[in-house]
Amino acid sequence: MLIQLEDINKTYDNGQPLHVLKGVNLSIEEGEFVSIMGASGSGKSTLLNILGILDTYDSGNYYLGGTLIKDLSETQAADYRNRMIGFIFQSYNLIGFKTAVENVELPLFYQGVPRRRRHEMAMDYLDKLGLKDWAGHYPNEMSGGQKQRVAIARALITKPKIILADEPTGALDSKTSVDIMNLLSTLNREEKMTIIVVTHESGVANVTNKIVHIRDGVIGEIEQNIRHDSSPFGADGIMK
Amino acid sequence: MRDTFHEIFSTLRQNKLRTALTGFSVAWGIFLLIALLGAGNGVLNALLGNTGMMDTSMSMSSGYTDKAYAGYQKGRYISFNSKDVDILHDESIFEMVDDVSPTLSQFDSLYVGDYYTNCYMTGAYPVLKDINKIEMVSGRFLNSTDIKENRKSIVIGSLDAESILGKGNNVSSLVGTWVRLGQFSYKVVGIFKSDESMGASYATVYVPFTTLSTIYMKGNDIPRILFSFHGMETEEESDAFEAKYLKFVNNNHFTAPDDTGTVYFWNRLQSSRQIGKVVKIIRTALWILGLLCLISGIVGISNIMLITVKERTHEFGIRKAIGAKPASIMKLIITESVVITAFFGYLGMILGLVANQVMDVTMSDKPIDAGIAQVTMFVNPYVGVDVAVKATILLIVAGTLAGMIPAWKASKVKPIEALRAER
Repeated sequence: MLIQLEDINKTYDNGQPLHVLKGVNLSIEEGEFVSIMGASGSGKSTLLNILGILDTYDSGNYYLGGTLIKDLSETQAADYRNRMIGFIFQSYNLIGFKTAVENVELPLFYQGVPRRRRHEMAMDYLDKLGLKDWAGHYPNEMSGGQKQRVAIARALITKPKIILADEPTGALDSKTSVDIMNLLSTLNREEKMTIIVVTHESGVANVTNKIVHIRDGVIGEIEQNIRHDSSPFGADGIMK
Repeated sequence: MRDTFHEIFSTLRQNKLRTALTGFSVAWGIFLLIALLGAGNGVLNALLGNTGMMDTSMSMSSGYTDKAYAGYQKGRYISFNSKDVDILHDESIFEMVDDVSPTLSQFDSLYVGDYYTNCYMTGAYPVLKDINKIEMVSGRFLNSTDIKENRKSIVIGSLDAESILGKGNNVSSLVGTWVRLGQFSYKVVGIFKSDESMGASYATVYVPFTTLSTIYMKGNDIPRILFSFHGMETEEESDAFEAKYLKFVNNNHFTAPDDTGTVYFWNRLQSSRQIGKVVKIIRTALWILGLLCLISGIVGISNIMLITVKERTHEFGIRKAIGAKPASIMKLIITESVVITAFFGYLGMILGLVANQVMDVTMSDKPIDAGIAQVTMFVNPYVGVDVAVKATILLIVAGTLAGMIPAWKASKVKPIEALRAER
């Protein structure tokens, strides 16, 4: 069991308490390709942030690769994020004044990998994602799809246990969205990478093998989607 | 380290104007500090040069009684006699006294060919050279044979020798020639280096004590005694010496034991120490002013760093998400702050040193004519290596301090909040 959530509760208290996660139980095996689907306000982003150790939870237990992730210092949390988790964001979150290859190198920089070595590795990953010629470009010189592929390369470079993707196609057009989802699918199939995608688009969820529905802070139905036919639009890709 | 610098330069390049403005405020602070200290040193050097710092010598002049005593009226003139001089040589009583020279003085006219001037003669003993730290330019000072044989030898100041010979002539050519002083001819035996800060309308010369005493019929009169000493560094020791000597003189001349008017003491060490105190106060004041300037620079950079941190919150969120520890974020900001202060501080320091150079060329060693005396108001307006080192250390400390609070703030922001922040 790679990920195990036991009765996770989370309440935001901004003047008025808001109970976002109401006892979430979820297990994810190694090598799974899962999507978490839900409407806005359902708590899916909060759940992803907790999975990514970007946010804390109030009660329950979260095990990642057998380790209890609870009451970590910021330094420990940073270390776990760096070694175990790769993030893909809706808005790419690349650093604007760094070139593509420098962005990809950054997680290795925080691991203390020597300069030359991490440059080589970053170039390898960019090459794999077909961006070798764009290595020296800055994010604002690239298209949305290219930026997201740089972000994927950055997420992969530390060989993490899981990839967490928060609306990875949210800022992309439908054709590019299909490309990115196919890329994630290939990574899952060929590299046995565990990938969790948070989305509200059924077309995106349909690419994944398992769909976890979340509604009002609790896990609802969990669909097995090996045949990729859960979405009425599934067969033809992603509708925008 | 190389990576950290690479990071910093890429962010600094992003914000050229901001970097320049921050840098200016730091450079300006250090520039003012160095320029101010340099100018201050210029004035202080001139002041110290004029007074002759750390002379361990003392001058005593005999005076008039303040009190009626033993049938004598008050206001009686007391002159030192040989007993007053000899007691100073007694090591069991005045252990601290080294060389002693009684002196006499007399005004007369000095003639050299067509040249004529008023002349202030000091009748001295050879040891006066050491007591007054007289530097010889040429020839010799008075010697014991001059004293023993009442020889008419004369030692002339270098400035007066220049006026006698005219500018550009070698003053040493005067040694061995004869000059007329009052009614008599004297042989020039040496030229001493004049105190250039004490310009006067008359010439200053030394002749043997015995010669002056005999020619001007001073009898056994000794109006003034100069001596050098060792130890006696504190004011208490100095006061104790004065009290002891005064008691002896009062006893020797039948004056009231508690009469303080009979001897005037002038302790050069004490007076130079007092000047030293003033100098210290001025120095401290200059440092404080300089540091205040510097503080405005530090506040400037601290302010800018705070804005920078706010602007870069989102970026720090990304860095944290992919594994940056709070310490590495702190290091990034503090190093950036130190690099800016160190680089621009260095620039400001160089400019400050250049300003000192400019001051030196335009103002230094230019005597100002203050009536009878030519006074140099400005000498060597430089700051020392020690100050430069101190300033550098100060800069690094300042840079660290300026970056500290912003860095701490940045490292404390939760990654999830940082990611949500506006770009």
